[in-house]
Amino acid sequence: MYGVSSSGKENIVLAIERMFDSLAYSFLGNVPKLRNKSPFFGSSPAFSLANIFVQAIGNKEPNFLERDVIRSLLASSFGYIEGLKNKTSSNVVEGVDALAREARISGSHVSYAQVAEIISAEMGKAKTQLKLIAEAETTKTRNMGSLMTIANDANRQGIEDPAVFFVVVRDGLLCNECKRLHMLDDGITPRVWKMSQLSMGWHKRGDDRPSASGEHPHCRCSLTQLPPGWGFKDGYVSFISLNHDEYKKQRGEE
Amino acid sequence: MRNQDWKLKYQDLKLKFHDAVDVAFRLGFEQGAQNAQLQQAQQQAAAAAQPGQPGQPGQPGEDPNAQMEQQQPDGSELDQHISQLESMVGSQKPGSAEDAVLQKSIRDIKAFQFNMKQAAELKKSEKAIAGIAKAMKTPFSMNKTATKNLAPHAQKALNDQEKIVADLMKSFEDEAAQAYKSIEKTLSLEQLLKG
Repeated sequence: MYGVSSSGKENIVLAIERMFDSLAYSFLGNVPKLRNKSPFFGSSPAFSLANIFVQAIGNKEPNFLERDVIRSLLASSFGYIEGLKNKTSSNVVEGVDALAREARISGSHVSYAQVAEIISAEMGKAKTQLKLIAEAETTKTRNMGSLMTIANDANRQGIEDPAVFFVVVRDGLLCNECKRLHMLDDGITPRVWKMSQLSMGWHKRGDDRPSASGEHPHCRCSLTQLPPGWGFKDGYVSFISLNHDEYKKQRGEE
Repeated sequence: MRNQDWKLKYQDLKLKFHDAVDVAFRLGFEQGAQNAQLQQAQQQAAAAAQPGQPGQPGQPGEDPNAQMEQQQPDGSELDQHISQLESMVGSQKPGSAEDAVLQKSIRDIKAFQFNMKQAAELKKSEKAIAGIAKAMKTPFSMNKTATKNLAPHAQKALNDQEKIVADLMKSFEDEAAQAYKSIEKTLSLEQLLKG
């Protein structure tokens, strides 16, 4: 049975495509795949994922390697948004088409309320997923920027495998997984890891090592280097002695 | 005395006895049924008033009103009574005193039912608002340790992250509204939309 015409469906897809492209542009900035899509995408927005990366590497001009990392991070984020765009447009087209077919069979019309119901349901789902993508990707980008800085600094200092720790940012909202991985049993001293111990992919709840990409989408814990000789006093980073190794101390190897 | 037909007299008495037994049985049965209904209603009222008692359907911590709502989710029983009353009114002579009284009773019952539904809706909304308030995001702020242990540029990156996600979600609403308008326009052109 005939529902929405093929050109009508194309228009619906185009409307959703335009919406997601605009969102991707405001989130990612002027990425190559978006550059020629709209005349409005001429300059980069003031705040984007790339800005977070630049801030995380110390607000300096990125070098060749850092540029390559941010390029791949933006491409991966764009892929997630593209996936969400395709899913949302397919669901909206399918829903509206089914409604139109049903209306034609019964010889009636589709009401505004019915269309609004379908679109708002799909947009609601898309909004939740987009927030999840945005939260996860910003956390990953921020921590990857910090990781690049730590690696560069360690290289300069001649440290092969630097000691790192996660700064927990929100006391009241600290989840059990972050608490387990980032804090010692006393609940105030950060747990120190070697950079080589960190996982680089998405964290799975229950894993015994933290991920540099963040432990979960809303994770605000921030990766930081602990220089040699430094440790913690009441949870604050403090200089202990020249020979102090906090990593070994925490593992009882000192 | 001799002329009396004792057999007939006996049969007459027997018939009267049977009638009396029948009436007594019927009255007793009706009374018993009424008592049973009354007892059941009292039990239900007691169960609603004291949730969580052993052997009662209510559980500790349950809202007794919620149980009442479950029993009559949309007042369907009340609807039945109203329609029955309306059919009775239909059979009355219009303009009579009984008709006026019945009409007033129906109006009162309908108003009562409406108030009951409103109260139930309000209760649901109250619960939903409490849920929304619980789920609402608290404003982002760093703890004292983070402020000291994190480098200023890392703190700036964290604040930027909050701003970027918030801005993206804000522009989502505007973009979705625009997309909706475009889809609506397409469907209007296809002559599929009405009223």
